[in-house]
Amino acid sequence: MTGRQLFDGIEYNREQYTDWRQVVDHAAEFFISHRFAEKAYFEYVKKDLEDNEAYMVIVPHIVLLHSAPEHGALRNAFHFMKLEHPVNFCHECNDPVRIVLSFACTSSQEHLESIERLAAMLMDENFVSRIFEISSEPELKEYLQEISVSL
Amino acid sequence: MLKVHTVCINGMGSSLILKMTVEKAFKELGVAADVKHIDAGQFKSCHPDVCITTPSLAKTIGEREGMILITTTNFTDVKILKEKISKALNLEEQKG
Repeated sequence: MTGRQLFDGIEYNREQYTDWRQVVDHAAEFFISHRFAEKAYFEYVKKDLEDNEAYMVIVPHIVLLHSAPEHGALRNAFHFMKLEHPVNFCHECNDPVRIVLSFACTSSQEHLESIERLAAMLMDENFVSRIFEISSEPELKEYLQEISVSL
Repeated sequence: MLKVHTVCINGMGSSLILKMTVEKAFKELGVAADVKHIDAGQFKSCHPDVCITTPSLAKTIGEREGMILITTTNFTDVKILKEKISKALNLEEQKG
């Protein structure tokens, strides 16, 4: 499956959020409107973040919003959102969050492949520093599409 | 061969990414390891040699006799994980 687009949605977000829950709700809208996940899926995400010290902020300034397939995932989908205004997620050391990656998965080989590609991206220091610099949606889309097909 | 588990809440995202980073770290350290990712619920009945997870989940899992517990807040930094693994397994001392 190498070469296919990794992200089903890419967004450069200029909102000024005051609470991380608003960020999760905004990501949720994309998944709900496209029928990629049910509303409940992101309620589980919020609960897991609250109960487990925001552990989904897995890299400094990057959060990976996700829950389990049985919590309302309807199909495999990935979303990439860059926040112009960083938001604190109450993580012990990786705040503030500037990149919000979200996925829904229904447990399959395709999901494993997507996660592998995502991990490869995040392990690449050049990718991470470049992505933090980008300041417009067209530029973000162009860069991610270019990177996606090369992985 | 060391049995290593990476643990997160759901076993579908963070633990999977951590598994890939940990595999790379062990490979670069030249230590044979069988790395599996698993959710916290299933982990209760597992008995690996090494468990790698977040500081918050480590509190839930707790220390176990005969198991090395490593925590990290960065899931994609191979260098940091190599250092943590080396320290936990006393690799430096063995080499010296």
